[in-house]
Amino acid sequence: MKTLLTAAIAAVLLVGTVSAQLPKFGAGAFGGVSIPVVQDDQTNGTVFGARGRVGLLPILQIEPYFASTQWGAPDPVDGVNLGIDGSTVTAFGLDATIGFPPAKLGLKPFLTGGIGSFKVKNDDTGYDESKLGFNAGLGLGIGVSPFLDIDVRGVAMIAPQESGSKKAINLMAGVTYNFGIK
Amino acid sequence: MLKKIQMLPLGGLIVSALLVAGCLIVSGTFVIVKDFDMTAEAGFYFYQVDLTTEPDWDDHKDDIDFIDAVGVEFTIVSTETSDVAFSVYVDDYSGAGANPTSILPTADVIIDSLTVSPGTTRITYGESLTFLRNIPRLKSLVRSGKFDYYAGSTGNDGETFVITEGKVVVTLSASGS
Repeated sequence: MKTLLTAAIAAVLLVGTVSAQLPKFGAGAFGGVSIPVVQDDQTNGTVFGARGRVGLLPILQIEPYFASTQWGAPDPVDGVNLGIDGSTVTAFGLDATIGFPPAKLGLKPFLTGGIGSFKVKNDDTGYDESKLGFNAGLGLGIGVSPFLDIDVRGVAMIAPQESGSKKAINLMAGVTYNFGIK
Repeated sequence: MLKKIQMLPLGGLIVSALLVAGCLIVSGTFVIVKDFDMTAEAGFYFYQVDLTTEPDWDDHKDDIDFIDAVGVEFTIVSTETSDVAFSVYVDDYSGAGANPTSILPTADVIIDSLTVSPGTTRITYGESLTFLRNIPRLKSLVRSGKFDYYAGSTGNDGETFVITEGKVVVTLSASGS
């Protein structure tokens, strides 16, 4: 018990010491490719957005984000050219990353996952559903300077619908500026 | 501790792979195209749409979550000398037996008095989405797998007015393998 308590106190002191050296906030932008999963009525499209970053622990960051996805027009089905646009997905939410400390130079593999509001809409078909969804994936951060991180990440996005869900794999690259570096 | 943290991305990769694989199995969105032609009898057309004979429908019929969209496309060849007003109705599947000769009061209109000029007119799926009506009833009938499809034309002057290359296009979301 005494050992555990000592370890806990040491951990808190360690976290506090390291946290004091790390920026608490960052902001950036990202973009990439969105690949619909098992959706005959969509093809690959684009995703872009902006995210903030709040450091809770050296290895744990919280990222509020906004993302806009435009899937591509569907391919012909049984010889029928549907002639409609792909759906849009508008999302905002909170992700957590583990293993992506800001202000640290070099390679930083990390996990990411979180929840958000996902609105799937298609003006041509009138489809419009908005529900709480989630995403999870992993990435590789590169600390190019104490101020600047770039990252690439692959994320599975799952947007629940009335029942069932719309899914996609998003492959993205982003850049984040770290505030508060001295 | 550091090694454990370094192992996290590997764990994440495995979890992500399982997540995606699981999702691939459990749900998706599918588009089904059903062909039809309708023969006119005095400006009245009747066809029973049977999606249950389509392989994709058969694969997912027990796991349909909802109908995302329904549209139609067809070609009208009119040798009438003036414009014709064309309407389409849908109703519950009436089963085998003699074809009806008029539109029943239980039917709902989905295309209301579309003006068709003499010549060949092609209505595309995308265009149909802009003027289809009573979508909730249409989706409900589609989900049942079978329904009656009526059409009527007015303003005919006795020449031919033929509907060919008809297709019902159904987009549905389904869970299950």
